[in-house]
Parts: sequence; C-alpha cells; structure tokens
Amino acid sequence: MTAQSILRIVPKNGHIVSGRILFDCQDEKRDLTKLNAEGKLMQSIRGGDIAMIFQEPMTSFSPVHTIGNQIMETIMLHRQIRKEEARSIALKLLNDVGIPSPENAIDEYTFNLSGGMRQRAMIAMALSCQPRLLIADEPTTAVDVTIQAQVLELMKQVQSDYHMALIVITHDTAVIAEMADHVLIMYLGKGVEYGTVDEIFYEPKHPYTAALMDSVLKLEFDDGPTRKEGIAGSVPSPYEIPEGCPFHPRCSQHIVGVCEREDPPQVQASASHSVHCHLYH
Amino acid sequence: MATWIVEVNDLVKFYTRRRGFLKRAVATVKAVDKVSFKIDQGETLGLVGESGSGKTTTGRCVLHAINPSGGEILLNLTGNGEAVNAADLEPRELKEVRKHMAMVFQDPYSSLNPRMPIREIVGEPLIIHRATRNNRELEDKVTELLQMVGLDPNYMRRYPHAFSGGQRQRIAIARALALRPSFVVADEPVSALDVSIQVQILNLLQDLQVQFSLAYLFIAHNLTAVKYVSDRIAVMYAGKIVELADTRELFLNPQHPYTESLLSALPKPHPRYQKKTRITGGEVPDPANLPSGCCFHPRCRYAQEVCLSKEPQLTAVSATGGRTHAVSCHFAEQLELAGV
Repeated sequence: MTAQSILRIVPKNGHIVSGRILFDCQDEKRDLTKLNAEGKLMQSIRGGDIAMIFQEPMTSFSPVHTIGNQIMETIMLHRQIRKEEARSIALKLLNDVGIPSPENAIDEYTFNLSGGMRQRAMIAMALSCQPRLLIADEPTTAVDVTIQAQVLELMKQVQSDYHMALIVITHDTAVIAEMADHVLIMYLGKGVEYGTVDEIFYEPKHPYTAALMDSVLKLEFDDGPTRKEGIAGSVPSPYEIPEGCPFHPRCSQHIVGVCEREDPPQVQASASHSVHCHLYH
Repeated sequence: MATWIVEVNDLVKFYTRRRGFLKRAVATVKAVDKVSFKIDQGETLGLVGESGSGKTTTGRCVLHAINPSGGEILLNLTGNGEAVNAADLEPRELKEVRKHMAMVFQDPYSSLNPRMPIREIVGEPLIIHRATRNNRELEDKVTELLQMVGLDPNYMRRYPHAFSGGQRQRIAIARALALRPSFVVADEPVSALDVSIQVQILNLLQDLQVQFSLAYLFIAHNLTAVKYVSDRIAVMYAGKIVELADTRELFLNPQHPYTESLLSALPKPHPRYQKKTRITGGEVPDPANLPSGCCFHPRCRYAQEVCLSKEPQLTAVSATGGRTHAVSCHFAEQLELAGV
C-alpha cells in the first residue's frame, strides 16, 4: 500500500489522508501527494522515473499481447520515438535481463514463458525508461529457489548498471539480508523500526523486530540453541487494530498501563536507527 | 535400531499427456522415476526439490492417494510387526491401513471445507472409521485434539473463515492426528504461512512427533525449514532422488552438484553470512522431455561427456553413524563441492 501511494495507484476506496512523498523531479523536490494522480506529470513519473515490478508476473502482464508489444508500449508512451527504434530498445532490454534468444522471445506471449523468464521480462519492462526508482513487490515469492537466486542477482546487477534506487517489499528476511542497505519494519500499517541492515539484524530494538529476527531459521550448524520460539499469536485483522501500540497483545515486554493506551513515540537509537516503542522512552 | 515403518522401492508414476479428439498419447511425463527410501518410526525424512520435481506425487503415492504406475510401497504401520504391500490390499483392508497414515496439505485455505464447522472437520475421520460411539464421545475427542494443537475447544462450532492461516494449519494437523496415525505426510505445511507463524507450526509438528513417536515425510522446497525438522533429507530433481543423506552431512558435505546449487541459491539468512555463491543458470526441465543421461547435465558446471550419455545410479558413497549417504552422480566424491 505504501508503494501504491508513491505511484499514486491506491485503489479507489482508499485515499492518502496526510503526509508527504517527496521525489526529486527535474532537480526540484515535488510532493507526489499534491499531484493529480491522473495528471500529465504523475503519468510521466509513473513508469518513467519510478517503475514497479509485481509479485506474480502472470497476472500483471496482459495475456493477449506479446512481451515485445507490452515493453514497446511503455517506451512509446514516454518517449517520442518510432516503433522500429522502440523494438530495438526492447530487444536490448530483453538481452540485458538474460533472456536467451531475445529475438524469439520478443514475439512470445507471456503464457509461453516460464515463471523465471516472465519475471525477467517484467524487470526488462520496468527498466525500459531508465527509472531512478524501482519498486519490487515480493519479486521472488512466486519462483523457485534457484530462479530466485538468478532474479536477485539480476536485480543487483541492473541496479548498479542503471544507478537506480530500489525498494524491495518482502516478508522474507533472507531477501532483505541479501539486497538491502536500509530496512523499514512495518507492522499493521505502521513503520515500527528503521535502520541500516546491520542495525536491524544485529541490534534490533523493537520487540517485534527482535522476535522476527529470532524466528529466522539458521543455515549454519553452530552450538547455539536449535529451537526457535517464533512470535506468539497472529497478526490481527486490519479492522481490529489494537489501541496504543499495535503490537502490545503479542509483545513479551509489554508495559501494562502504557503500551495499550498510548501511541509509542519515535526514539532515535543512533543517527541512522529509529524505533517506535515505549521501552526506550 | 528403530523399526522401519515405510519402505518405498523403485516407485514410478507416469502420466500420459493426451491431445486431440482421439486422445492420442503425445508424451509420457515421468513425474516420479524409480524412487526408493525407507522411513523409521519416529523419524523425519525431508523431501526437497523445485516445483515439478515430483515431491508431491511421491508423497501422494506413498499414501495411496493416487495409484503408482510401478514399484512397491511396504507399510509396517499397525505395530503388529506385519508389513503389507499397499498394492496387494483389497479396498477394505486399505481403509484399515489408512487409519495409521495421514496427510497435512500446503494451503490451509483450500484444504478445509468452508461449509463445515471445525468440529466436523476434525471429527470426520473419527466418524468415517467409526472410532467413537456417540456424539458426546466425538465431542470429547475433538476437544482433546484441539487442545493438543493449541486451539481453544470453545471455537469448535466456528467455521474455517474465522481462523487465521496458522490456526487453520493447526486445525488441519488436528484432523490428521485424529486417528493417532504413526505416519504423516506433510506436504509443504508451512509454505503458505508468515515467517513468524512458520516456526510455531514447525515446533508443533516436532512436539507432536515426540509425543506420539510419529514418522514424517516432510515435503518442502524451503531448505531452511527442512533442515529445522528433518533427520535425513532426500533431494529430488526431475522425478529422481539425486542425493539422500543425514541433514548435517547433506548441508556440510553435499556430493551432488544439484544439492550444491540449491544450497548456494539460498539468500543469505543475515547480512554478515559468508556465502559461497555458485549460481546455477537454466531451469528445471520439462518432465515430458527430459535431457539424456544425467537429467541435471545441461545446468551442471561439472558436466563431462559421460553425463550426456549415461544415466548415473543412486549409490552409497559413505556412511555416517550407520546411515548411508547416497548420491547419483558419475563424479561423486571426486568433486570439491561447497556446503553451507
């Protein structure tokens, strides 16, 4: 939902209530929340400066257009160029993302491609206008582990080739460890902790982050305890968000009389590390 | 020495792909091709592989939920020391054996009937096998089962939609254990759940295993979850077991290049983890059109000429603590492969 707000593609029954989304737009800081979601500027930013890749490439591509047509459509919407040029750019993109024999793949429909290839085509489409920000929503949740490694590697490579900023949205902490510099931990619609990837993994402050990190299953064989405890309870429905700190019913360090009443304040743990929790107040 | 309770020998399951009005056979899909393994009482055998590798088909064949095309499945579940070959049984006898085995499915959103209250879902196996005499007894039994999996029995009149994913999986586990089986096939039991909930369910499965000395065939694509629960692990690729070893041995000393690539494909669990990156290109082959020789050769960085023509057999390479490490690779023990 946060990502949808940045792109101003929030579903019709929701709206941005307050806050600002600042984006550096032609050397000028523009607040995206103030722009008309259907306006010219927002349309040129969306897909042009900020692109997004989705979890399930099968449902986010059109099944009745070829891969090439869909990539060319994006390019021609944002740039004044001829169809032949757009096609050669599309070919180069498919080549960049490691699709074998792009001259054949460009005329394929999405259902003829495997999951890994579809995700590559999706990345090619997102890259087509050389965005400065790429939002990846669970980019590898729907693919197998060897394909996941290929896709993550590809994303790192295109990030450095295109000098892009990357937002990776995922529930998989290993993907975070692999990809991120900074991490924002969210719980029930609120950011509860923000820090560098090392701070979040090795010095978590919020009890939710700590419990989350503790439920990560280990790969190494060491002498530490092998049994993990996980987090008691389950995430409440978004219609029944608890009062005060939303995590308090599941929190092992819950301060009675405080946590269920007051919203936790933001506390700065270091210059780069902030947490919303009464424990540090 | 623990007694074995399931022995699978050369299990084969083929499907025929048909096309057109006359339903001509166009291809044979080798979903499972000569798979053999043994599971001891109270043991967990992990079965890992990518989509389409035949893990689920293997699990279903072992329970006779689908009939295998070949091979034998010996079951020694009843505890009277008499092993039976599932293929030889009459339907009535098979039903008797089914009391001792059960299955937990991947997606607790589709494996529970939305129109049945929890009481009926969990109680259904008891009714089918006439394990309780009357309604009171049934309700007592369901209460006990729900408590066992950590749910409040007061909710037994509610329907599945009122429960979260983790709770639903607990209901599915209670149903599987209703008849006190000795063998449970858990097919990706945690893949549909959140990370924090996964650990809860894995812990529950382990606690119940100790309590009832259950044997599990734990099917998953997630190697870290398999590592957490399994005593031994079998790695499947394109319908075949390519490596079978003790969990520790498999992770630290893999002998098959595919196992190595699976391990190195795992994203690092924390930022300072020292990863040995050996990314494997390519994808899982179409099971109707498998490569010649060793199925993994097109993706294998160590492939030689022999791998293209000759199919390797699963052979024991070493034994740790009386349990063998088997691998099907022409160059087993000759390659320097990286573990975790």
